[in-house]
Amino acid sequence: MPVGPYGALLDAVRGVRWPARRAVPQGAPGAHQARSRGAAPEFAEYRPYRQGDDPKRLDWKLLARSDRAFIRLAPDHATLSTTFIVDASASMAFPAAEANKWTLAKRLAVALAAVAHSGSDPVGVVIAAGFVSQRLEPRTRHGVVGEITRALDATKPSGAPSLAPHVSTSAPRCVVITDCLGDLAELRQALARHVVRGGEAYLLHVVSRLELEPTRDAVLATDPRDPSLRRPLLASSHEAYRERFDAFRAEVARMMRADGVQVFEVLDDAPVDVLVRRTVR
Amino acid sequence: MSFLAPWMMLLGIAAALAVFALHLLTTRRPPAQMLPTARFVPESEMVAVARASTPTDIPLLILRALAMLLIGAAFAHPVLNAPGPQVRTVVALEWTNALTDVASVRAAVRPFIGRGNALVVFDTAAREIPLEAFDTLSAPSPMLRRAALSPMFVVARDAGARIARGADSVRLVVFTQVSGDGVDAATAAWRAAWPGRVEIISVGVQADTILSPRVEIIGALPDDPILPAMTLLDAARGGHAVRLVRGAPRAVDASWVREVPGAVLVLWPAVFADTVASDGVVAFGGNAIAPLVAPLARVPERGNAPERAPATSVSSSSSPSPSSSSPSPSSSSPSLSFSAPLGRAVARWRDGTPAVTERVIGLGCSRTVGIGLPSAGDLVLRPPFVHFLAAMLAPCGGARAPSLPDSSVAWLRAAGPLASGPKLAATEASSPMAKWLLLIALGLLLVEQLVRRRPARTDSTINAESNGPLEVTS
Repeated sequence: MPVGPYGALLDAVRGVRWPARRAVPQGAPGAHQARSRGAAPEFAEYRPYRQGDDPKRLDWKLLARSDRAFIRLAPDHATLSTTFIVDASASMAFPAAEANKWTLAKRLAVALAAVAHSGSDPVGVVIAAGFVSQRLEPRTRHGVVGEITRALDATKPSGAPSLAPHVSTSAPRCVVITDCLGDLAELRQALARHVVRGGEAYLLHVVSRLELEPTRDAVLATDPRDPSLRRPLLASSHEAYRERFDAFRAEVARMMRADGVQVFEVLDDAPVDVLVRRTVR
Repeated sequence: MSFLAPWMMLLGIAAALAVFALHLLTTRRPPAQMLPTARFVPESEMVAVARASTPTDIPLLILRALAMLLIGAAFAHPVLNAPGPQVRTVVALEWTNALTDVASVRAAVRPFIGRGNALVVFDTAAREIPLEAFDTLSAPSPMLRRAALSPMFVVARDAGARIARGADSVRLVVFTQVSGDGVDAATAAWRAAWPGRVEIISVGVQADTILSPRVEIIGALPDDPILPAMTLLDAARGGHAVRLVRGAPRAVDASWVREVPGAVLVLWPAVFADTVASDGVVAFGGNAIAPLVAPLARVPERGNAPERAPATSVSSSSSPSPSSSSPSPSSSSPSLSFSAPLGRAVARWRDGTPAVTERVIGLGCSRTVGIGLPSAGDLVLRPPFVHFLAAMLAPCGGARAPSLPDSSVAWLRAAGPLASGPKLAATEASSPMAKWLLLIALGLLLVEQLVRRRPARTDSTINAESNGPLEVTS
């Protein structure tokens, strides 16, 4: 169901599935293959009956033929809770007039939440803003995507919040949408631990086109996270700036992938549905 | 006012405009703009060159532009245009003793003596004199009979350049009678340096070669060897008066030469060189050179004690002199001191010491000959001696060469337009105002240093005004 201004986007990603990248721990029945064996109709293997097993799962025909009691096992399916950690720091409100980075982050979070929720996965969100971080625990109930949408729309990026603490408390599938200009080192460690614990980690690196190609006019570039950091961006320094920024993005991708994190660089002028399909592929 | 090198003034104006343009380029703090990736911008000074719509630092701009303009003006050599007509005249007047009618020459020149013109008088040298000095111009010296055109053209060109400021054209009028010795190898080049035609007005001059001098010999012995030589000179006599004194000069001779215009008193003591080794002398007066190689004696000059030149010790076999100073190392005979009187050297010994000198006395001149002739032999009858004798009897200052016909001096006139005033003025490379302009410019630049060193705004002030483009320095 279309939700407000995100209707067209949700329509575009309808039908998209977001499979887990590996078997999920046992949990509520869901769309993802679980590491446990259950009582699904399709057969997987037999196991000798042990005291306490449900007698209904006995293979009576096999018992009649061989006088041995075996339990029929089937592959189990479970849900995969997903938490979206959205960076709402001041640097996401760029450019100042349009805030394209923040808009892209919101639309990505809503679209991915809708995709996950369509697979009956619980979805929640952590909006890391400057002073107050808002948290919606993963839910599967109807309307959770709308709640996420409203929470995101009500947030105005500000400050320089930390993202790493929210990773440790997130659901098994953790999606971080950030521009990586904050606590990158701590975030990397948190995501690495999350992966080690068996979770899935996604990093959507939001980059603005104006960050890649800033204005050619001489400006005094000021960091919105730290207004005391001001450097003149002149025509003569464009080349060096671009080289440093490219190296930074490449290094972020390399480090995160080395830790098992799925990294995607998303430009603020790219179609969101395309980005979503690329992410869940 | 005009400029001798106007293109330098244009350069100065261009430099001033460049200064103005540079003042439009200011180092300003660029406008602040949020950029999350500012940390990747290389660190550098927080100023940038920017263009301003209006020049900054107006006092500095004025000082610098004014200094550039003054320097350009100084090198452009500004000159104040002299008041006067648009066509000005350089009058070059031959002022020699050869002029036959000085009064008529003065009358002919007088119409040209006007405001803005220049007057150049010349003989073998040339000089510009003030126009006011024309009426009081003294009579030419009896020694000056020849007029050389080369120095005249040099001085006339400078005078023309001076009066050409503000004039359209400059006219060169030369009052002279061009003679053969007035034109030398440099004349053509200097004539070409005058950028226009030259008007030559002939004046009457005395031709020295028309008549031989009227010679009166005083104190000659009957066997004086110079007497037969005199008979070999041209028979037609009627030229200038010459008194040849073979003995001691008398007071009447001195008074005679003072009073008779153009008179020549030749003091040639009758000293003989019977025992002297051969020697040579060259007379180079006038338009001819008369070398004479013969056993001649160097005669100590007597008289004219107050006007003696520095003494030169020479060896001589002639009679001893009371003024002998030092013996010659190369001769056993008594050493005599020969001192040439002050005056123009008419002949020299082969070692360069004067043998015959000439000086002005009153309206005439005295010529002292320090050459002893051999008492025997036919030297005096040979053509070289006759030529030498003619040179000794020449008019004061030497004989003037015959005048050249007009056809021979047509190249001097070279019909064409008058000399262009600006073109002629541009040849003068000096301007009295230039050094003052440079001094003023230097002063302005010193003041500029003081103004530029005003306390600059502090960085805290700049930070406090970070909302817009701020000028930091200029």
